[in-house]
This record gives sequence, structure tokens and C-alpha cells, in this order.
Amino acid sequence: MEQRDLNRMFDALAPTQEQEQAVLDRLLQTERKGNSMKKLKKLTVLGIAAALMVISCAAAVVTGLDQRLADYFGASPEQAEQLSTAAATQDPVSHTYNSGWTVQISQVLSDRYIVAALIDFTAPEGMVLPIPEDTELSRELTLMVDYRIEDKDGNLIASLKDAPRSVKPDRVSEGGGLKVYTVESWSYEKEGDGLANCLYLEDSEPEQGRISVMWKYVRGTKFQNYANDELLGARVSIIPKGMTFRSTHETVYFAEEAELWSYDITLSESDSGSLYSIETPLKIAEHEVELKTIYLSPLELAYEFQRSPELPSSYAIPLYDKEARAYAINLADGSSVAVKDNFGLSATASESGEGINHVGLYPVEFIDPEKVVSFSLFGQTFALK
Amino acid sequence: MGVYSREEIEAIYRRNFKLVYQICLVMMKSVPDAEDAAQTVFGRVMERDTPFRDPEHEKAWLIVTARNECRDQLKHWWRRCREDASALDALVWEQPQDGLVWDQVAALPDKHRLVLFLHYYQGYATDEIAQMLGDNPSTVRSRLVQARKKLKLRLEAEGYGTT
Repeated sequence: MEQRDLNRMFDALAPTQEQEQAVLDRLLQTERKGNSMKKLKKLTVLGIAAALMVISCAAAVVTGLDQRLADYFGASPEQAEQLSTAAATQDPVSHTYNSGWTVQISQVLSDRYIVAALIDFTAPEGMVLPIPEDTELSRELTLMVDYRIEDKDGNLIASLKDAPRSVKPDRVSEGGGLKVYTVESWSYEKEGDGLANCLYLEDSEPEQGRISVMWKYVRGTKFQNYANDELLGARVSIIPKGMTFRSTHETVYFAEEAELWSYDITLSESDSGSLYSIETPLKIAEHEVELKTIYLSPLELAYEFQRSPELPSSYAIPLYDKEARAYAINLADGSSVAVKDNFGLSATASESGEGINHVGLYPVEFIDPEKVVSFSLFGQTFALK
Repeated sequence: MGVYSREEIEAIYRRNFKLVYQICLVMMKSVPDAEDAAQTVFGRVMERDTPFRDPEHEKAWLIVTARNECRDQLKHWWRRCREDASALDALVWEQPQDGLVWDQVAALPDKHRLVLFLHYYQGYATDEIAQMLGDNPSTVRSRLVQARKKLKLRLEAEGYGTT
């Protein structure tokens, strides 16, 4: 192969004029949207301040779990009870805007690092959503859901800076038969470095004007001053704002800026999972880090490690090399359960290499945390006692 | 919003879109994802509160920002969970052998793909790439050697150039 072969191939990757123009149009459209968001943000903050005055503490007594959440997490009816220990609230709360749109938040699940909410959007009666038949919602629709999270002491630990910008297909769940797609791109936060997105749920009926999603936020650990940004006892505000239809380039806002509704909830201070202090050296390839903790809840498995500052780059560690990391959750009966990445928050240490790396994972099938005896990673196994 | 006017943003975009998009496509291996990533990169330009020092600074900043944006997206959990077999369906190859070369380039690690693109197509020296990306020059040279070697072996195995 000659260099000219390579260059000719790269030439063929050049964008067309239509692509160039289309992306520019989207970019400039985003700019316009961004300008209006600034004003919207100010009003939203005022709205949140008012709403926080009527926040109800939501360490709710749990009597049931929405089946759609159980499906998403792959929990069988028997396992749903276990999953429901992560439920922060059960009673659905809905709000109908003057525009006729209704948003209902049916249930919220949370643990130390994650908060997830089941949200249904219903269009005004008679409104036909411009979504072509037989198309994936993830390709047609972008939802705009703002959020703001304060820790239990009232310190702001996360707030959304930008509206979500793109639409990505995700996956089909393996257990519950519920198709789930990622709706939105991750969101750049003004504060904190967590990530949020929405997942479309298959029981959405766009032709009936109803869209169901699971909104999910995972906290980050990028900044040292957010070392205590755990979600236990956190106050979470979810602010649905609207949606954009890709095929028609229309954006629908549920309400004027001043009338946006904020769903506010205080998460339980009791942990639905268990945090294991490990404080043991962990060898990753040729590098040694300190494994600080392993966390296991019905929603996730996460671990945190501290890198030494002399490591040349956070990407020198093969966190994404599936063979090298060889994750496995080991159960008491001798079987193992594999895990997948949960938002890929691995490389969140500072550029200098200091700080804590948080790796969020989720089991490929629902597991009862009480049946877990150890977690294996990078060829080492750590007992969870 | 930032230091640049709308007209200046458009000028920067017109000057650099091809470069940024190609980097994103080389990294993401998907046309829609590359478009999204390129859009995000220019969105970052809009947010800049200081102007670029000169055209070289502008270009280098865009390359690094495109690399970082794609790397962030590639780390994302949904992307790592999904199959991307159809990711390049939207690419049409006028020369079938280009498609064959791409298939083998696409099979290389993203760091290798980027170095190949910057060195051979964009004409950057390995030291320049290293400085731009914040890598050790020997690391860049090593990646280039490995990429060439792997590519040669893969293409030979596919019978490239023998017909």
C-alpha cells in the first residue's frame, strides 16, 4: 500500500457541501436556542427557589415498583422488591401546563451515585406529534430536561448548562423485552461533572401523543471540591422544558420560561446499596493505583480508585480494555455476572492525574446484592464483606 | 455569547469544517456521530472568550478539541454497549479499494487512526503531533510505526494490491 492509497481514502471521507451546510445550520440554530436559554435559566432559578420552599421530604414508604423500571433493570417480579429498596418515591406527580402538555413523574429511584426518574410526556389533546411512523424515537426526538442538584447541606453539586444536542440509539434490553434508546447526548454541566440523559421506553405511543422516558443522572468526581457530592439526602430538581422534532426541525416548549414546572424531591439519606472500603493497591497493566472503594446497590456497581500524580496520562490506564479489566461480580453460588459501563465516567480525574476516578458499571442482569461475595477486576478479586 | 461574532464563527467554520469533520469521522467511524461531534466542536468555538492567536493556533485547537470530544463520546457507555456494524452505511466509496483500506484503518485503535490521518494526510511531523496532542514524541512515533505495520499486515491478509 502506498501513501497515496491512504490519502485517497482520507479524501473520500471529506464531507459533502450539503453536510457542511446542514451542520452549520444546526450549529447556528443551537446558538439561537442557547441565547434564549440564558434568560430561561434566570427564571428557572427563581422558580426553583420558590419550589424548594414546598419541597416535601420523600423518604416515601414503598409499596410497589413501576413495572417499566423493573423491566429496565431486568428485575423479575420476585426481584422487584429488592429493586424497590432504591425507590425514592412512589406516588406519581403530574403537572399540566397552560399549553395543554402534561408531564408525569411516576417514580424515582436512587442510590449513592445515581438518580433515575420515570417521566411520561403527554401532548395536548388533538395535537399530532410530527414523528413519522415506524421510526425510532431516538432518531426523531430530542427532549430537553434541565436539572439542578444540591447536596444535603444545600451546596450546589450539579446543574445543567446546555440543552441536550443530539440523539443516539442505545440498546435493546436483554431481560425485560423493553426497548430502550438513549435520547439525548450527555449534558455539559455548569457545576459538577456528572452526566444525565434520557432513555426512551418502548411503551411510548407517539401516535397517541405520549412519550415515556427514564431520565438518569450519574454524579461525577472530577473536582476535588465536589468530593462530597454523593446523592444521599440530595435535593434534586427536574425541570422538563420541551422537545425538538428532528424531521421538521420544530421545537416545542411546554411553557413560557416563567411558567416552567420543577419537580423537586429530596432523596433518602439512607443508602440502598453498600459501600465497601478497600484501600488496597490495585495493579492495572503496569500501573499501580489505590482501589479506594467498591459500591454495590440494586442499580449499579461502582468502584473508585486514586491515581498517583506521576502517571503520564489518565488514558494510560486501559480502563476500556475488556480483556484487561475482566470485570466479574461473583455470587455465593459460584457463578459470575458480567458488567457493562454506566456512562463511562472513568476518566474523571484532573489532568494532572490527581483526584479520584469513579467507574460506574451495571450488571448485565439484575442481581441481589446480598448474594454477591466478591468483585473481580484486572485479575484481582476483592471480597465484599 | 463568546468573543466571536456570528460572521466570524461562520468564517472559522468554513475554513475548518472539512478538517474537523474528517477527524471526527476517523475517530467515530460513523457519519451521524461525526456530524454531531463536529457540531459540538464548533459550538465550543462559539463559547470561547479569547480569540485564537493565529491560524495555526486555531487549527491546532480545533484538532485537539475534536480529538477530545470524540474520545469523550467513545467512552460513553451507550456507545460501548451498541453494535456499530452499520455505522458506515452512509459512506459511499467511488473506488472500492478505498473502502477496503478504510475497513482496515477502521479496525485500528482510535489513537492509531488519528496519528495516521494527521501525519500522512495533514502532513504534520510526529513532533508536531506530539506537541499538539500532549503526548510524548516517542509515543507518537511508536503509534505510527505500529499503525503502519498493522495496516500493512491487514491489507496483505485481505489481498490488497495483488489484483
